[in-house]
Amino acid sequence: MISYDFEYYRPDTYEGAVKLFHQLNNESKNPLYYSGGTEIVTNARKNVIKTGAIIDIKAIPEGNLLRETEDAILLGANLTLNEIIEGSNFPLLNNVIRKIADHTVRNRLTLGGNICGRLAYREAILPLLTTEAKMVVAGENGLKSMSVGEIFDKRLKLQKGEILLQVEIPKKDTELPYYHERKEKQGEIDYPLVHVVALKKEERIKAAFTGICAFPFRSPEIEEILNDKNLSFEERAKKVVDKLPSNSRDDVFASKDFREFLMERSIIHTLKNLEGGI
Amino acid sequence: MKTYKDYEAINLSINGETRKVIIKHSDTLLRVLREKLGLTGGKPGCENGDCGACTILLDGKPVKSCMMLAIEAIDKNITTIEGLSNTEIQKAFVEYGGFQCGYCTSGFLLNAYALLETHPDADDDTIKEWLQSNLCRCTGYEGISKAIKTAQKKKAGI
Amino acid sequence: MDQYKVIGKSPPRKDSKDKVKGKVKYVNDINTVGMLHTALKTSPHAHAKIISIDIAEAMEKPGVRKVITGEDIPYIVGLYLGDKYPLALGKVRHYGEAVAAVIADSEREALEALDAIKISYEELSPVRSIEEAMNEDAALVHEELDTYQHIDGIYPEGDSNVANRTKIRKGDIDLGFEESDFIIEDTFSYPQGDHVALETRAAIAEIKEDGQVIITSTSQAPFVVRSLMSSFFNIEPGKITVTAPPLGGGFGGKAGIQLEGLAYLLSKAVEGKPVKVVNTREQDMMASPGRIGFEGKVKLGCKKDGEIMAMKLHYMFDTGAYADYSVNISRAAAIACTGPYNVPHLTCDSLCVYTNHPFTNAYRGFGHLELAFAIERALDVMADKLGMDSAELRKKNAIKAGDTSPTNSVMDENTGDLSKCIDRVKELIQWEEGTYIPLGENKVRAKGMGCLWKAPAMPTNTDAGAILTFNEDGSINLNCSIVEIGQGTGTGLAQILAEKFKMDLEKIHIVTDINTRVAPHDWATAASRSLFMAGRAVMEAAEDALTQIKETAAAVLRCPSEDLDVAEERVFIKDEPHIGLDLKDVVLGYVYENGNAIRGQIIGRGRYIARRITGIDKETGEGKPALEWTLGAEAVEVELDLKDYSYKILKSACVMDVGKVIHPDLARGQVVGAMSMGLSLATDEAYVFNSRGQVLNNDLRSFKIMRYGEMPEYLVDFVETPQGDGPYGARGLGEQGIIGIPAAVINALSKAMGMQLKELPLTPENLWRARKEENTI
Repeated sequence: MISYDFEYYRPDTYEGAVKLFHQLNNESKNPLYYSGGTEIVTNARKNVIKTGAIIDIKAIPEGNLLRETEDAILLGANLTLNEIIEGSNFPLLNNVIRKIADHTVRNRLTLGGNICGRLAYREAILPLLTTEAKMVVAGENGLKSMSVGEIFDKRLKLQKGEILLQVEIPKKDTELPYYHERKEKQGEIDYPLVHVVALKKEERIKAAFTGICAFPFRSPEIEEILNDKNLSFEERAKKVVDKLPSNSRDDVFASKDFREFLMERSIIHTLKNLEGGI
Repeated sequence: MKTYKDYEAINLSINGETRKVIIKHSDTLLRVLREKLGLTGGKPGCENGDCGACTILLDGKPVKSCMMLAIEAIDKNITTIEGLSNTEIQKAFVEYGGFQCGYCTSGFLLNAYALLETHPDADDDTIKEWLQSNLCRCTGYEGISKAIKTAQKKKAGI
Repeated sequence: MDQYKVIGKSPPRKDSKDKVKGKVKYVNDINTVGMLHTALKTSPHAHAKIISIDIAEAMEKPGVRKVITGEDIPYIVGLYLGDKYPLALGKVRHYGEAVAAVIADSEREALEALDAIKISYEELSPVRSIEEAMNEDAALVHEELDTYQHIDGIYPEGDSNVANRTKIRKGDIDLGFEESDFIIEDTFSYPQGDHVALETRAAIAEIKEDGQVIITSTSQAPFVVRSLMSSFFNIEPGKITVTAPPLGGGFGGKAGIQLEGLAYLLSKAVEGKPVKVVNTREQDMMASPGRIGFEGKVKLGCKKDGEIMAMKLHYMFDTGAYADYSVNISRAAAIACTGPYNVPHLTCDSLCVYTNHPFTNAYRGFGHLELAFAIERALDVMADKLGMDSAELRKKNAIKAGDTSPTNSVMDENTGDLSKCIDRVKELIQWEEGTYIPLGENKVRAKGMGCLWKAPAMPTNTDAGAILTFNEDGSINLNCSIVEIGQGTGTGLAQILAEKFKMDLEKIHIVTDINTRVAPHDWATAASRSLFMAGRAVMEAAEDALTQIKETAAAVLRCPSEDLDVAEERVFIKDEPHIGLDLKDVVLGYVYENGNAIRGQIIGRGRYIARRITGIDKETGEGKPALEWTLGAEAVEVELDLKDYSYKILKSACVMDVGKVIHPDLARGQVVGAMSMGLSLATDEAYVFNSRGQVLNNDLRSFKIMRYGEMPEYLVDFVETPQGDGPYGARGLGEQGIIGIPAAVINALSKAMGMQLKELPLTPENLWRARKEENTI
């Protein structure tokens, strides 16, 4: 049960939503955009999230689109993970998000929610990072489309009041060879200790990671190592772990050491699968 | 734009009936069903989305009613365990020991029911994917597994 | 042909239809207009002095009736040992301990006021492990332990953290080791965890104007609640009514007394209005008791041929901050300390140790789970040393009739056949195909075994009762006091009654909400003694009712009552069965055509009280504390990935000697469910603490229990060596299936890893770490 009150709004347009956000913000109501709600409702119960107003963005039509154009797959950020799994034609994304939470939760949990939420794993961003997807963001000045690399650094760098509305994935990249590996503490329904997502484009491996650090990332330096064919898979794996962008996570789910152990193994598997040989 | 303030009188469509209920915006669907409408079949096992004992069907899909607001259920069709009668899956749960204490049972039944409606030919992987959303502490899942497979066959007329 | 009509069959549970329709009302489903609701403020610290609590702001919050702190209700509510207040007073002793309670018109308002309660603490350094607790200069969790009141038979050691020590001395331990060819010595342990019953604990209390106290709660032991409420709060027992509706799982966690006392005190604070206390999941794990932690040192001596000569055992249980049931868990572990083996020379010290961990109480297995973990692991280590098959080692030493138990009582002819259980479990798990089977380079399948035994740990005067009343259609109301906690004992008892009446089970109606005002006295739905003891009471009640029925019929039929029999809802002359009466015409008194009536209604009464049980001697443990022993053997098969230490449990097998299977499906359900708990415990369940003693996994997101799809193939069979005094020869089986499983899992993984593992939980990380540490030695 949530013990405190908040206002609830369900705008029909993104313009309306953004305007409302700023208005509520000016009234010091600390508004929150809300899509699937799974994270907000549970954290509000624990008083971890406090808000005076919820702006439910599920009625915004652009956020619910699932469309393929000639050269892109366009996914509304309000689509639930299961809607994407059932409707989208990007196997890597589908396989990755299939690991998030559990099937029932995925009937509510949305793409945008997973990427913009508080939980740091944000696994749905990994295939977007590797395919260099475009993120369509609604703000006070209307829509803008940015490459994920420009706007994602540990988290999505939205300005206050901005909404992630859609993602646009280059279609040709959705057909590339890929590999992903996710490790959990014990059972599958759990947070990832390590999740490696990689694809091979023009003989180069592109990879994104989460679980291992406190945030998801893709790193040019690490990709250099991954693609350094002068090194064995094992050497590359070790080197990657040395070059992580932050300390490895060390928490109730796993120690830093074990995560790094798993990370090395997942990298070796990734290389075996995408580079072959051995 | 729709605007809601303070207490709200809303209509919810539950088990084929329209029920009028007065809620607060921050009321979860689970609490409204249980405390305002007397539909106590769904349980607050964790109110954190982990156990699935509060599972209901929203437009035929299983969702955890502790993780959503009641206000979001306006214009949707809600099915609770009270709305499920004499289905193959209920019969099979009785026959194969799909429950002991019964606390997780409503959630399991609704999830399994939706599964068999959506994927009558679900294979083991699909069954697992769906049913991993619910926890049972009593049965070790043996009876639940047997019940689902039996109900699946019965539905297929085998 | 089967000699029984109903026993040994698997009719649908009596509660089936309601349970698949969501119609069973659990305590938290009860909400009435005018009921007040509560919320608990809990401690963020593991050990701290409470300097001040400011409730002024909280009292002003909307809907708030009262804010109660420990000072308002300074009653002692420890189960066996008076070490606990309903709300912390003076100091908090574990993370998540309840410190203050808000009573409000709604749960929402109660919750909202929590933040406004301002508590200032002075942190104390916490006792963070058994080892720290046992240090000479350890901080004391309870400074005044030696002044606490306690029941007989437990021995707190003042000025230490030992809440109880139970000693077993048998034979000559020095001689035993002298005569041993091989000796091993090792320590095996596992941390605390939780029951995770899907239903969290709840209690509703109301005080009537004449002082009647009405409690409805998630209780496995409504009569214990009545009795303890009376002694804690000085209320006449007759003025207390406790109702226990069906529970959403118990597993021991709802035995003893839980939230009832607090609910009563809160009701008292608001003029007796009905007050409901419900745990959130986090509070159920932290503020209410969980599963005990364990560390067992085993020194084991054997002859070359595997004959066990001596055991020196030192068990230490991490009860956390309060003793609750745990002082009796450590005692039960002493009584059964050797596991189901004949051990001529033995010493055991079993200690219940305070720490600043969350407190614990009864948990399925009740000490036997822990001792089996230590003993069964030690036996595998010994088998490796002897170069002997571990199953053979177990069989060789299996306890049998004529042997003596650790408390030196002779195992009587009712003793089950452990060897047969071992043989059968070997067949089920295909032991002979090999217990170590490499699968290519990186994978291995391995098998491990763990045997079990368990006697109910209960007071010597534990009893049960049964009352039968009748309806106009001749059907019977069976009124027993066994709480429905998922186990379905009500159905089993109805079967026993139906068998006695040779009647259709449909005509037996059971009482599901146990109400101490109307139900016959019964100790508790715990210790796996319900079917045995209440079963005996039902048999006696049936005999009593049948006698009365025959007496009435004899008068009407003008024949000796001993010539009559009852079956198929008729009472009739045995050798002229066409002469008889329908039960419906007898059970409420017989009415003649002219209106004359005789005899009146039939009321069947049955009782059972444990037979010839004693306490145990303080210095040697001698005595006969066991009602009956259930013996069994379990085994698991694992498949381990040697590269990343992930693994699957492929099979889990259990064979128990249960005397007689009353309801095969329910019996299997209990065993399978118990095995799954054991598997889950062994593979993943453990509280994780930080250096300040705070629990880092206090919800089901981070404390994981087994999910669908993670279960193995379950293999279950029973051996039936009749228990002479059990109903139809049956003995207890509800808890037992868990007992050998953690040991079987660690034995299988030890085999797979080729090393001796010693600790739970067996997460891949812990296996990886064990391997790493082995390599660095």
